Amino acid sequence: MDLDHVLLYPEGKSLLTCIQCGVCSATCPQEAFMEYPPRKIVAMLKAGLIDEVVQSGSMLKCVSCYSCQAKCPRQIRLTDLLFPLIRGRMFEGGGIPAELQKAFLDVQRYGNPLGRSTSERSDWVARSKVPIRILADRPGPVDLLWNVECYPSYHPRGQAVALATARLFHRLGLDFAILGSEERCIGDCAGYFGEFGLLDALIEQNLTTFRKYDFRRVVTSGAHAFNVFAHHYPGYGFTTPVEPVVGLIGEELPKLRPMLKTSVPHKVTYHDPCCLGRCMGASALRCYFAPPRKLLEAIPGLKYVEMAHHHENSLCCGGGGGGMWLDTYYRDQGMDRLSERVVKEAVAAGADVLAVTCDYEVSRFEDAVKVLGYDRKIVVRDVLELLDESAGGEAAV
Amino acid sequence: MDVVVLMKMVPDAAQKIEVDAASGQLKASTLNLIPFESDEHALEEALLIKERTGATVTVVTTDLPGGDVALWTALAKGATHALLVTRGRPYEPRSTGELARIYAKLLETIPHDLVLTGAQAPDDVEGELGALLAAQLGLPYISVAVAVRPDEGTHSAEVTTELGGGLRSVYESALPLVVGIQTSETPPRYAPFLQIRAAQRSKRTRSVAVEPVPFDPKVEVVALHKPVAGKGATMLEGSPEEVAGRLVEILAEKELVGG
Amino acid sequence: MKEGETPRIGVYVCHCGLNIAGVLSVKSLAEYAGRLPNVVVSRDYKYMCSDPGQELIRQDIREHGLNRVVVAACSPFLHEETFRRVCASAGVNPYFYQMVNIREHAAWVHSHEKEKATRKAEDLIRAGVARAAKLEPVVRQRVPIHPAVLVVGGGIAGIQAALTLADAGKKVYLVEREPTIGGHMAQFDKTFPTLDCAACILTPKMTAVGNHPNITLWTYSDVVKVDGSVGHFTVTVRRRPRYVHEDLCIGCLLCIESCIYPDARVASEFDLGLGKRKPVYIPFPQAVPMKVVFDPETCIAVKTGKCTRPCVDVCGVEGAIDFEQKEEFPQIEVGTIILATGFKTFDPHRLPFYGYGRYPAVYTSLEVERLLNASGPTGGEVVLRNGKKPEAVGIVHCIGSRDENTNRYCSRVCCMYAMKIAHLIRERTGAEVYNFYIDIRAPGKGFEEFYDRVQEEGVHFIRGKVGDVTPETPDGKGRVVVSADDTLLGRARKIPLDMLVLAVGLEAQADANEVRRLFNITCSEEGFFVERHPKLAPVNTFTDGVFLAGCCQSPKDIPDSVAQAGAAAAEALALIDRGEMELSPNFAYVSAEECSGCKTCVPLCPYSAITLEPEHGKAVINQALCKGCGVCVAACPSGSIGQHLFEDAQIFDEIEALIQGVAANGEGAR
Ligand SMILES: Cc1cc2nc3c(=O)[nH]c(=O)nc-3n(C[C@H](O)[C@H](O)[C@H](O)COP(=O)(O)OP(=O)(O)OC[C@H]3O[C@@H](n4cnc5c(N)ncnc54)[C@H](O)[C@@H]3O)c2cc1C
Ligand code: SF4
Ligand code: SF4
Repeated sequence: MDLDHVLLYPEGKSLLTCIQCGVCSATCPQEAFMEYPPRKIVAMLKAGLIDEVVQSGSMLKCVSCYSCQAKCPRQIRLTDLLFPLIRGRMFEGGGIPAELQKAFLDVQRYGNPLGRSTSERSDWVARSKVPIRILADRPGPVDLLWNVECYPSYHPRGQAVALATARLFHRLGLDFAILGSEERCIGDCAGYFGEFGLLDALIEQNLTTFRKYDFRRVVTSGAHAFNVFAHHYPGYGFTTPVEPVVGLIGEELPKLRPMLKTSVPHKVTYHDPCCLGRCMGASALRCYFAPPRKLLEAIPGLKYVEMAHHHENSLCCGGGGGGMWLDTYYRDQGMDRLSERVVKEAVAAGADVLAVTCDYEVSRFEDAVKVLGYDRKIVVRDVLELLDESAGGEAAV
Repeated sequence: MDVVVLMKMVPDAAQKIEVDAASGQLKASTLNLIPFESDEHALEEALLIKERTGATVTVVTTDLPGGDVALWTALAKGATHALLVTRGRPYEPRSTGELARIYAKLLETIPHDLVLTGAQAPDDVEGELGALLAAQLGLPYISVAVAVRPDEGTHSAEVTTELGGGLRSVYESALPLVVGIQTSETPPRYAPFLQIRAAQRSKRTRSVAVEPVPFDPKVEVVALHKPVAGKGATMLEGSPEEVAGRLVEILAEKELVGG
Repeated sequence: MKEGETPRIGVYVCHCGLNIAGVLSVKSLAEYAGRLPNVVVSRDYKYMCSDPGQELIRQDIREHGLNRVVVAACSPFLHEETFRRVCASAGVNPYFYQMVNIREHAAWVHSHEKEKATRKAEDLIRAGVARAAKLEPVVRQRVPIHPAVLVVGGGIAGIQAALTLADAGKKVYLVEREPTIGGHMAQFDKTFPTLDCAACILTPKMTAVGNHPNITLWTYSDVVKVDGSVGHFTVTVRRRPRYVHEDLCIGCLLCIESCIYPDARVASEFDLGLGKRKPVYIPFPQAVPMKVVFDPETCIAVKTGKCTRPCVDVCGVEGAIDFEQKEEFPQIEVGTIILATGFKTFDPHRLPFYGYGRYPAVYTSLEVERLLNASGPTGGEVVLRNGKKPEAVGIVHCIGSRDENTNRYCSRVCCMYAMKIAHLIRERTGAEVYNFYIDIRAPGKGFEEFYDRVQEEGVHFIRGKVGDVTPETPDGKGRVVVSADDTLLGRARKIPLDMLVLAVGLEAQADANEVRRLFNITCSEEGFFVERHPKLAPVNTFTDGVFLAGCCQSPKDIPDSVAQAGAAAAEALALIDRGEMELSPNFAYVSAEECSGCKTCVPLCPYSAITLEPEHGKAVINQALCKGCGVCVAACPSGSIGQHLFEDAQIFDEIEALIQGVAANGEGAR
């Protein structure tokens, strides 16, 4: 499907039913910075003026947060169809900031947007005190294939989360393994920015790798990867059940609870990632609002507080739809960073820990904390890190 | 106006590269060849010229692993023609002089007003490819360019190069001309994957066999080894406050900041 | 026609002005028909349905001794009855009439290919003539109509229908689920667009229902079983115990005062939890009947029996309060039924981002109706849950309406009541009021004028639905900030509000599907009861003798509900006054000799018209319930079910004649 032919498809035809209610623009966290916010884009498309929208670059500011799509009374597929198609068109005329282009090129070349060597993908495993099986080295049936994802594999903060996750899996006695250097990006930024060809190539490549091994389910660290698994992979015939790590650990809570002995005496708030909430609602799949909260509340000594925006109203961290690689562009455009808005809300809610479950977020929010000078007020921790800490951390495995 | 872009496949430095102890060469299994970055800039500059003047852009590379992908990508970005130079025997990445001769021979058969190539590839640190090629062809050569503005009417081009310290110099030269590109005026564009696949399917890349040219390299690679960590550097450890304090002391000691 | 008599058929081709004659060659069609077997006369005429056209047929029947008539004209929906009457008036059984639709099926759909269209019309006429030869006479059955009427639901629609019928001298049973009648209207303070006081116009009617000698009012009750069919329904009603004998209670309310709970502590259903009541209560001061209810959930005497029962002591009527009271199931006989079960409001928890239930500043419109009501929990003052008076109020239209995620339809009344609420809030508090709308729908009498008036009063109208609601303070207890895209300004608006009112849409009752099954009628996908025809039979259902009134059929305002209630009452009256009803001749019948009692047909009937007679276990079809859909006819494995007007022989000959045409004309026959 492309932009010129959207109206030939049922999903695209729904555009014609737009009632210009403006809910999409009203809820869009980036609206203030868009020359053409979502409602106008639909009107422009209906009027045949979409080239102006493409040229305006408004869609570079969309962070694929799904707010508009989840609330649109006409169920118009704005976030996962229309806007990616518009951005896909931007490749033709240039205008895509270099940092984002580089991320795509890196995904093409190395299967990760950080531009790191594929052979280094599992280097973090060496630092794990618990055994982590790599399928290429030790093939054979396994229950859980853990899709570690790019940031947990390469980014130092992400690696810390990956190590904590491995410890939790180990404590729970789960039978799991990873793909190591065979793992590649699942395709989030490609799919949501409109680089559909790259998404397609990644899916094909990943499925070829998956077919080599024998596993019953997939558990994935990243909220974004989960979203892509849920929305795009079934179309390629991949039907193995996929869970995000928090979902899986949430189900194991009865088993985990007795291990949570160390008090974590903090006031903690939780940021709902778009990709485990709203996005899932949009396609009537499962939302993961409850599991992380239940897990946090199971930690002794921890006091849970809610931010102003939460559940389906949660503010996006600004990392989706390519936003992860557009911070410089956003700064040049004089835009606020969404991650800073979230951190401010967390502090306003009285929290001293901002808990997250999305692979982009630990680093994004930590940057925001530093930029805001809130180092002494709040720290950013993954829910899994907090659980691991309560279960005794590295010392207890 | 005919613009020819010469692209070279070089080892990807982002990947871990190892030296084979036995042969003293780069270990082939660790090598991942990608187009040299400045060559991508040369292509971008050529595409910008095409957009401004309607020139044809012919991209050339040798048949190393990944060379075909580089050409499909160039076509996806908007190049007019793509040529893959085959020579009937494996390529040796060190013989820039030989490469210049081969390209010179090829260029005898294709029209060229402007020949663009990246300046200073990793195996071509002095930027000799462009110079050697220009010498072979008997054409003028300008290197480390950051902008090329050809004028069809006067059959000349204005070339901007960057000198140190932010200085720029502007040359004017008659065409044909060989230019070594440092960076293009705008960053190289991205080719969406679908277009690369479409270029691949379109079978628009052509192979041309160029007979090996006898060449006696004057330089020989004797050994390769990884850079050795230098001395001189001191790693400061401790909390951010301690590190910052120590840093101030050192800078004051060396009288680099006012005390 | 007597047995063995040969058919003598007259065929009449109508021009329908230029509707048919403009496309088909009517003369040649008439000539063609004249050559068909058994046809004695064939003619074409400008308007067959006109008086001279009808007379033409009568004359031919007399002069040519016709015993079958075929008119090739428009749809049978339009004029089948007309021509049947013509036949009857000339002494021919009306079911010896066959209609052929050459207007819709040939002239209109093929207006660009006249030649082929004419050939298709020939095929249709040939088939019609073949069928006409096999027609059989039918005599229509009649059933007597019991004069009593059941009205289900005591909202304004049910009240209006009951009073109309009772005033006409008919016996009415009014069954209401709640302890009082009045429905939603009883909860409002004023009504748009005239701003009449709801109580002033409703309570007299409620009292009239309570006192009417012809009305038996059963509140706190519902219908549990319906047997029989039009004319003679047997209905079982469940009367829940209110632990007070209605005939003894005089409504002095002393029991409420004496209850051992000194304060009202239970959330009042009628006030939607904004006010409190005691375990023994009346829903609101003007309730009808004015009889108390003991809530079995909270009254200790009912629940555990362990109360000192000061209420019994204080009650002046011996035996009025009876904690041993049990459910009762009286049975009544009625001839017709009017359903007026109304609507429920959309539950905004389903759209959590509007903050309902999360932030105390967010209200539903119905809750605000209670706040505005003089007999409501705040005595008509608009005070917030935090006790403050609002200074800025937002009203969001279309919550749970026009939304694929909830309800697709427009709820029709919300724009108007939202303006009413805006007016009242502004009048009582002087607050700034912002109405966030997508489109203003004000298509009734005096509605647009009301819109003007409210605008002039300074209510802000912002064209853009609120997309985001966030609390101003992290605890969520204070103001909320709403974001909307002011689509007319092309600018984002962020407005802090003390009170946010969600104009919730109207939905079908939660139990609509059970009620539908009980009364053997149909529901739309959304749960609203389906009328027989949206334009021509808006209060009838597909079940004879069951009529609809008010919002159970679709969202509507009070004037429309009342008008519809009047229409439903009139339909019931018409039946009662006729005393009997002619049943449709189109019904299926079982030939008992052939039926093997296999029961295949029983569950298939969408109208539950088939039962097994107890003696031989053979299927019997209730003629009054059968709609002639033909499902059982097709399904019967032994072929023992037939259907009047659609006998096998008729259909086969019709098809046979059509196929001949296909064979003869090739593609022209289609
Ligand atoms: C907030 C709000 C404000 C409004 N303001 C106005 C206004 O100002 N002016 C105006 O014209 N219209 C207004 N309306 C519309 C108005 O409420 C309806 O038009 C009217 O109430 C319809 O009456 P009804 O009798 O059909 O339904 P209802 O009022 O819903 O009455 C139905 C009755 O049936 C009973 N019932 C339901 N199911 C059963 C059952 N199975 N057995 C027995 N009894 C049953 C119910 O308990 C209820 O008493 C407003 C609507 C809302 C939501
Ligand atoms: S929310 Fe949907 S219907 Fe409303 S303006 Fe946006 S696209 Fe149109
Ligand atoms: S997905 Fe989010 S950022 Fe993108 S247009 Fe919709 S609301 Fe705005």
